[in-house]
This record gives sequence, C-alpha cells and structure tokens, in this order.
Amino acid sequence: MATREAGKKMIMLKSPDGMEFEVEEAVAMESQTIRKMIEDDCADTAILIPNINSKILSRVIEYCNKHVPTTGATGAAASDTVAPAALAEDLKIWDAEFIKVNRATRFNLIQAASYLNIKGLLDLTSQTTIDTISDNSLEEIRSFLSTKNDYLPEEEQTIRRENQWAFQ
Amino acid sequence: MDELVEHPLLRLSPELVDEVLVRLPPEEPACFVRASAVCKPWRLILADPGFRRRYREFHGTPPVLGFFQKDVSFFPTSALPPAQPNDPRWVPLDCRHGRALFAFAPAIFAFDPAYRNVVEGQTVGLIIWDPLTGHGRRLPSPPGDSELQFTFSAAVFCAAQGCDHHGCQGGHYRVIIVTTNKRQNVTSGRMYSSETRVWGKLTSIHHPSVEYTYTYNLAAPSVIVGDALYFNIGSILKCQLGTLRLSMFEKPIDGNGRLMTAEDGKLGFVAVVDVTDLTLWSMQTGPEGATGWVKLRAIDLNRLLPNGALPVPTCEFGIRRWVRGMLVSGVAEGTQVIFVKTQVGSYMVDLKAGRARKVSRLGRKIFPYMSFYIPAMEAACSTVQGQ
Repeated sequence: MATREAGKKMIMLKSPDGMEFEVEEAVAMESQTIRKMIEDDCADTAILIPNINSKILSRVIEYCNKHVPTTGATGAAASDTVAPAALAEDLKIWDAEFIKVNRATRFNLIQAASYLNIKGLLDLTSQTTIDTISDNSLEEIRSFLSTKNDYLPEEEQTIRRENQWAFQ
Repeated sequence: MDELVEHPLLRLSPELVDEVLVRLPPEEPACFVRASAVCKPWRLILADPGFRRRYREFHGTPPVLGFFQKDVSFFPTSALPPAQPNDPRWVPLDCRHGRALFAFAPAIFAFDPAYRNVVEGQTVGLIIWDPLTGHGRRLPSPPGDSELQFTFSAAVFCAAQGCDHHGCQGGHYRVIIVTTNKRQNVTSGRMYSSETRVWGKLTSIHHPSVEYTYTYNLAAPSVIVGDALYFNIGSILKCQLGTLRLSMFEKPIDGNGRLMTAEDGKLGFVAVVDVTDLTLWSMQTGPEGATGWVKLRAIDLNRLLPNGALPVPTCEFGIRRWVRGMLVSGVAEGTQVIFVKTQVGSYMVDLKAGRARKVSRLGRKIFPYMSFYIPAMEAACSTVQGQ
C-alpha cells in the first residue's frame, strides 16, 4: 500500500470507467463497505468500486474528505481548535452546497451512498429528496419526478375524497 | 425518450425508495398521504405494515401533532383529519402517550375567573380523551379528599412495561393525581389503574410551609424521565413509579420554568432568564451519589424569534423595565421541542434544529399532543397487484 505525507496510509480506489483515485485510508474508511474490505485484508492493491462512475466517485470522495473526523490540511484534529457546534454548523453549510446538484446526480449519489454504506451521505441525499416531496403538492411531485400517474381517475378521486384534509 | 425523461428516483431499487420514503416527516401526516397518491408502487410501500413499523422506529419519539390549552378545543399544529372536538370547558391537566387528561367541575376553579364556566359540582371529574378518534372515557372520581377539590395536578401515562408508545393509546393506562393540603403542608397522591379501575394511595410527604406550593399545584405540568414522574408544583415533586413514593426537591431557579427531558436524557429544566436567554439545566448525580442541577447552556431567543415577538424595554417614571415578557409554556416530553409564550402568540421551538414557528395566539400553559398518525390505506388499487 502506498504511503505519503507523514506516514498517512493511502489507498487506491478504481471506478469501472478506469479512473483511479488515491485517497487516505481514513477517508476511504468513511465507507463502511470499504472499511470492511480493508479490515478483512481484501484490499492489497486497488479496490474496484463497481457501478459507480468516476464522476460520482469523485463527489463521494469529496464528501468523505470533508466529513472524516480528523480533517484539515495541517492534519490537526479540527475538534481541538474549533468548537463542536461551530464545526457542525460549518459542515451543514458545506453539505447544503454539496447537494446542489441535478436530479440524476443526486440519485446516483443515493445509490453510491447506499452501496458504499456511508450513513451521512445517505441521510443527506435522501433527506434532500424527501424535503422536495414534502414541500410540494401532488401535481408538483409528479412533475418533479416526471412520473406517469398510474392511478385511474376514479381511483385517485377515491383517495382524494377519503383524505380531503391532506389535499387542502 | 421516456427512458431519458423518467425520474431516476423511480428507477432506484425498492430498498432505496424505502430509504427515502422512511424520512417523510411524521409531524406532517398529509405528506404521507400525498406520497401514497403519487404512484402505485409507492402506495404499496407505504401501506406495508413492515414499512410502517420501520417508519416509527426510524423517527423514535412520536411527533407533536397539536396541543391542548384551557378554554379552547384541540389545536392541531399540522393538517389532520377532523375529529370530534373536546368540550372547551374541560380543563386540560396533561397529555401523554396519545391520551389527553381533562378535569371538569372542580370547585377550585371558581377562584380563577378563567375557569368559572366549569364550576358545576363539588367532585373532581376526570376524562381521558383521544383527539384523533374523539373517543372519551370518564374515570371514577378519586375518593373524597377534601383537598382534591382545591389544589391538584394529574398525569396520565401508558401502563405497559417496556412500551415504545408508538401506538399504545388504545391500551391500559394509569393516572396519578397529587394534591396539597396547605394547612398541614402535606402533599399526597393517588393512582388509578385502568386494569383494576381502582384508585390506590401513594405515600404522602410533609414539607415545610411554602406559599407558592399552594398556587402552583393546579394542573401543574409533569414529565416522566426514567422510572419517575415529576411535577413542577413550585418545588419539584418526584413520584417513583415503582414504589409510588413521593419526594420533593428544589427547582434550579425561582419563577416560571418547565421540567423537560434534558439533551443528555436526564431530568431537565428550561426557563427564560434575563429577558431573552432560554436556559437549560440537567439533574446530575455526583460521585458521592448527591444530585444537583447543572446549567447546560443558554440560547439567545433573539436569534430564534422574530423581532415583533421579543420583549421591548420601556421607561416609566425613570425606571427601565421590560414589557411583553416571555415564558416557557409547554414541553414535548422526550424531545427538544418546547413552546414559548410571547405577547404576540405561542411559538413552537425546536431547540435541536434551531427553528421556531408561530402556532397560536394564546396559551400560558400548553399540553402538546404527540402521536404517530399514519393514515390507514388499502394496499393499492387492483391493477398494481402482481407487478
């Protein structure tokens, strides 16, 4: 395994489209899936991440880089110098910027977060989606999802009639 | 072309759609209904009992759906199906585990002009009420302690051991009523069990003469933390639910304030201090086993509430004072959601999320109603079967 920068252990992640990403082991281990591979010694050279293209994988690594507990270019534990509340606030702002992506990217990120088992990223991507669904009317949700309404008109009428309070 | 236009969310695996939908906000049941009407595959997921169980587990503590306060009927904080309203003359005493507890016609309320309209008889009448179904049940009156007519508080709670209170409102419950005899400086209590339909006695406690105990022990709010029920009756009255033993200790500060579940899960206290500082305490146990209040943090309400709601300084006869004072009017047990009463109305404040929203115009004392309301629905319309 490669070693760089003050003895930090590095690890190579490979996307199916042939791109290679060298990341710190601690960053890669934000993913419980990769952590397990490393702990089970299945990660000698490079880890191939199936189904996640390089564009999405690079975003995922960007997220993990930001969220790894002892972050920062100096290598100092951020929590030593910054109050936890301020740090959490900073992360929240960063997350809000990070998730400003198009719909396709967001759902690819959900899939990647689920496969790689990164709880924070799955929370962020799923919550952003549900916020959109919660804040809009049925017609707006359908238009956001570009979905075809597979209810018969009379079926939808029944649902609306039985739950009038939810559609006002 | 359809393939390109179709939203990627609809192509996610069912497990991932599940992962997204489990985050539907439980405090807005209408979102759940609307999501079920989006398409049939979603309705199938949302109608599944397994999903519904995971949904409640994911969210943990039931959300605030509304609240009770005196002189008005149930006050929903989000869209809910209409239910039979409670009689606004019933006096709210407590609301917990999906049940509201009211008193009617106790003579004491004759002293309070706001309660005058419920004075009809001499005995304490208690009613258990489910605001979503409109089902109510009258309890047998507690045996005649004369004090009970004058100064009492009561709490209702689920009787099941180890219950998660995710949907127990139809099950057995207990009611504890505590009353203070101001002449003898004794506070005593009784407990009703819906299983035996009998009122049993709690141990009573003698305490030094404290003027305010008398006025505070009137529909005083309570909180359950661990295996004890606590009332704020001027001092804190603790009722150990296992032994039914009463004891008493001091609040962290004088004046208005409410008991709550602290961030660390212990007994907490919250009060507005120095005009706009919402201050939080928690009850800590020292190495020697001694307990005491520890201040956790203060939150500046200037940052949470709009300008119009905040107290304004005035100068009268050269003395500077604050009008439009604020106080904590309610607490959602087991959460960091509280209610703050201002001159322009009550705000529901989520301390964890750092958000506040106005919920009503009135209310010095608010009893939040917390429950998972997940509308019943048919699995799906016929055409989706077999897909």
